[in-house]
Amino acid sequence: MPDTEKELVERWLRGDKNAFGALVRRFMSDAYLIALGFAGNSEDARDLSQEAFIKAYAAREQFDRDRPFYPWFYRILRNRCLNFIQRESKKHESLFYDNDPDRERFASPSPSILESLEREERVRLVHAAIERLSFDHREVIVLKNLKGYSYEQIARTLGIPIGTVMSRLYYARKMLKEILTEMEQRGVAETPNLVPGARTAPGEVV
Amino acid sequence: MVCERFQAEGMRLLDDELSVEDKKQYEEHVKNCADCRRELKEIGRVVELTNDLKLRAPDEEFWARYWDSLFHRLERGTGFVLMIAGILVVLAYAVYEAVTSPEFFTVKGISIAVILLGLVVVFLSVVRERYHESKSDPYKGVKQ
Repeated sequence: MPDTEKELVERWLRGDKNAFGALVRRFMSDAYLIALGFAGNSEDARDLSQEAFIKAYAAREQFDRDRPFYPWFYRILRNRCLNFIQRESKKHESLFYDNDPDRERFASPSPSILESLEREERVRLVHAAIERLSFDHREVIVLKNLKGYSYEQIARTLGIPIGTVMSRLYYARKMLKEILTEMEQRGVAETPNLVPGARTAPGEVV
Repeated sequence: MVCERFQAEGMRLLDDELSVEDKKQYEEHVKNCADCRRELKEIGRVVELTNDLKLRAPDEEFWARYWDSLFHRLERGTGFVLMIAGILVVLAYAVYEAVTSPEFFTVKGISIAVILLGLVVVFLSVVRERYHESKSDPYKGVKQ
């Protein structure tokens, strides 16, 4: 029978490196994919998630053994991603427009080339819009839509009430809608109507 | 004006987190609520667009390499700490030997001392710069 998270943590805190390895294997997929949602390319996502594990390993003295491992680890990962975004935003206007060596990061089961190209452009636009959100709003979008967490999982991971998750997600989506509308009105790209009402004149009834 | 039921139930409906019974009740409400219908249409489109962004999970080979490289990075980290500790001990011993040596106040001794002093100044300057950077970091308040 596989060890529980608590047993692994206890063994790791007693100095068992193999137990830490088992914890890494248990959470590496989540860590990598969340970092990919923030960073936008697999190389940086791998580095950020690995750095978070290394930092967690080094900071084990600070770990409260009465609390679950993942939310604690997530906070380390989150800070790494936050610093990365802050650093990168000084170098590039947009991670997804200017620094996009890994365009294969999204699954793309499109039936035709044209649809595939349209979808790719739409995905790039939506990602560029997500980048313009505040970190808190971006975080809930990454966890909910890119990673597929439930409200409860997000609440547990972030250590906040479900009501706050829903409210944060609501305002993130409202903001995203405004950004997408603005991008479309500025003609950032020749794309199909992304948001209902985006191409109507101010005050026009939809 | 936004109907207060949208944030509580409309969001759950869009994210498929509403029970069958609650879903029925809310759909009845939506029939008579223009605010909810508008929000469902607008926010629903955003949800649709973002749901389209599923990340591609890497293959088995990637995960095998992932753990190997993480393990090596952990090992290198331990090695780096040991190396720095060793260098500091050697440096401290060298300073002690130099200061207690009768040749310390010769041209050779003073030249070496000046070089070492320069290194210390450079090191302290870097530390000071990093300290000031961290003080002005807008995200430093974010808890771990």
